[in-house]
Amino acid sequence: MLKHLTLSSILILFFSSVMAQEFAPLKDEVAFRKLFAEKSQEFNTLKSDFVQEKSIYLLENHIISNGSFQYKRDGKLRMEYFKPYSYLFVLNNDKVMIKNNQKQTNINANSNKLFKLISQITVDCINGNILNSKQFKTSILENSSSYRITLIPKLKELNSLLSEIVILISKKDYTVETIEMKEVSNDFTLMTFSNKEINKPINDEVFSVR
Amino acid sequence: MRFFLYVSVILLSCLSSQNCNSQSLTVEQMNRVPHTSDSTKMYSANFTVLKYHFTGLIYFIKQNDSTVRAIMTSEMGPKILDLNLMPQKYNVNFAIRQMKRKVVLNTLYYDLGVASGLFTSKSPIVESKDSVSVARYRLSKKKELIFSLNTIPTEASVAYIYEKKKEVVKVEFFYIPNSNNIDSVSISHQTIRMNIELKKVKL
Repeated sequence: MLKHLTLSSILILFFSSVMAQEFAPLKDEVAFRKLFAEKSQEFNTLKSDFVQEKSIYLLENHIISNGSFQYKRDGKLRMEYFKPYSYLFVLNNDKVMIKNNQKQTNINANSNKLFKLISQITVDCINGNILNSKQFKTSILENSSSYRITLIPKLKELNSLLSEIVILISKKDYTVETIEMKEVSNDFTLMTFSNKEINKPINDEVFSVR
Repeated sequence: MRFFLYVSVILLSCLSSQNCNSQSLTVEQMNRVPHTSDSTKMYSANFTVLKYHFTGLIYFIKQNDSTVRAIMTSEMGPKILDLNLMPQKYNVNFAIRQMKRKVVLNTLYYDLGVASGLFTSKSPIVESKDSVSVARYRLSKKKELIFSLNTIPTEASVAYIYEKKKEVVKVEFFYIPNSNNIDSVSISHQTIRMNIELKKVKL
């Protein structure tokens, strides 16, 4: 009898925890959009660490890399990868600076749609513009701890690169928890953000592009 | 620099006259030539393709004895290029619009074929003179890869792709100090605005 009760309790606990993680349609999408836009406006700076997991179906193991992320209103972004390779990406409005293999390259984000797309998605996730983007069809779900925003590219050029982008937003502070970019081939890149610091001063020099 | 000049002189003399002795490469020299391997090779990459510049990660994955898959992704996510490289041909699985041009893809095929070791996994015709050996690999009817290798270890080796006996591509291989393992590859073209720089990433 005791054995049956224990088993039932374990099962109930298991299923209730699974249910808690399941995503369901938003009860009030209009209210969420308004609140998300308002909360996003409160972010002047955002600093965090990130872990990136890259899956290529031909590779047995995922490629795990990590780095730091810094954002400053308006349109300033710095992403630095430390392991297993060093790579620096700085976006300052339309200007992009890339440093890899000890080589620095400055480009105009508008001249490279791929750079523009990825950096724009990241910046738009933080400043709240992502829900207003005309480049994607958007759907929003929620569970007890997060909002799940799915973006499906409308434009042909984006379609060929990505099948969908899934963004998890924390209900606690409305910051991005993860960004997952899924490709048509089922390969994906998942970025998970941690150790977030909101509105702590960041020197403009960090985003200098020259 | 002196070494490269010396190698160029030997290359020219070997190309113009056939006085060099036919030999085979030493084990030491063989190890300095790229070869395909069962383990995936990953490089951090800088590509200049016409007016575009790309950075990313490139993976060389051996699929079977005659096929290497070359996949390039941006550091932050999406795939840029995905080619099946074979000794006489290639297939395009994916290429972003800026690379989807025949002249670009044809050039990338030879460049990545050399960098991945696809073209140098077969036995070359070897000609040696003094302390330098020249290994010749036929890439196509018109193209030939000529690899010069010193008998004593050096920091770098240089190879050229010749088309109709005219030098069109310079490929430099740089090694990890005190080893024969390739650390980086630099590919520069003389006739098209294309340059590739690869730096090995330890998986």
